[in-house]
Amino acid sequence: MGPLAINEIISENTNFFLAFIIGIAFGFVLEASGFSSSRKLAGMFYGYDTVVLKVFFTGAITAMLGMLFFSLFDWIDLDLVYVNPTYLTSAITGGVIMGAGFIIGGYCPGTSFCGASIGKIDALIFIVGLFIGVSLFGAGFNWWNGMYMAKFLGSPKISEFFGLTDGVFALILILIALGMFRVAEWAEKKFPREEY
Amino acid sequence: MKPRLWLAAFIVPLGLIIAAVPQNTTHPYKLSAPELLSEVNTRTQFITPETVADMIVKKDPVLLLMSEARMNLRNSA
Repeated sequence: MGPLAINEIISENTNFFLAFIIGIAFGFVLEASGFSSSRKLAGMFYGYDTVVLKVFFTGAITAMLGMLFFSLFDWIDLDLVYVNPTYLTSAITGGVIMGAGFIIGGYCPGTSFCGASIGKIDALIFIVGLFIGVSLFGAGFNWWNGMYMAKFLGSPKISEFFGLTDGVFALILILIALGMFRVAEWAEKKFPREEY
Repeated sequence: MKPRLWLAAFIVPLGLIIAAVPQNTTHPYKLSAPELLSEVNTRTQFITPETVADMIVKKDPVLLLMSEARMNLRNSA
């Protein structure tokens, strides 16, 4: 059956419309969860607030289980689901830059728009910086094209790398997530902050 | 009961189920690269342009043209 657009069950335009609706719902849930506060987000790095870890890890394992059960029931062909190709060098470089930007600015790109939507000035300034960064990246692309395309690994999956089935890997990831949540709760007690 | 334990009580059993069941490997509409090469080499799926033209003219429902060609046919119809 799925993916719906690939199998022409719904049109590309309907697909974009559904993405638009889901995007609005996602933004609403982000804001309602407190992700428009840069102090709350930065708390992940200092240990006093780990809601970022909890929300995103819960989202990831929920989506993962959903996809695997959909595949089990033949509702979706996971081979037709697009997986981002891995360019190892640029993934690591981008991760470091993204992490540095997150801890300095208190936002990631998505949450900065979430903050801007309720009028947060720091989020608006973060978005200005985001566009400056994107423009510089585009303007100088010829300079770092080699680095950007280096160490191409295709679309590898961790389960295939370790020779596990997707289901066994899912179970291991769930246990890791629960362990991380336990550590996060410990960190919140260890590094409490009264007001932020 | 902490939310983490509620989550664990719900999600760990689901994880155990998905780990225990065999992976779904039924992909009826997809050929592997060697299978595709074999199909091309043995010409089992080969249809001459004349046959295709004949099927189009006769509006044979067996034939399904994909992508732009189908769009053009639709537009010209």
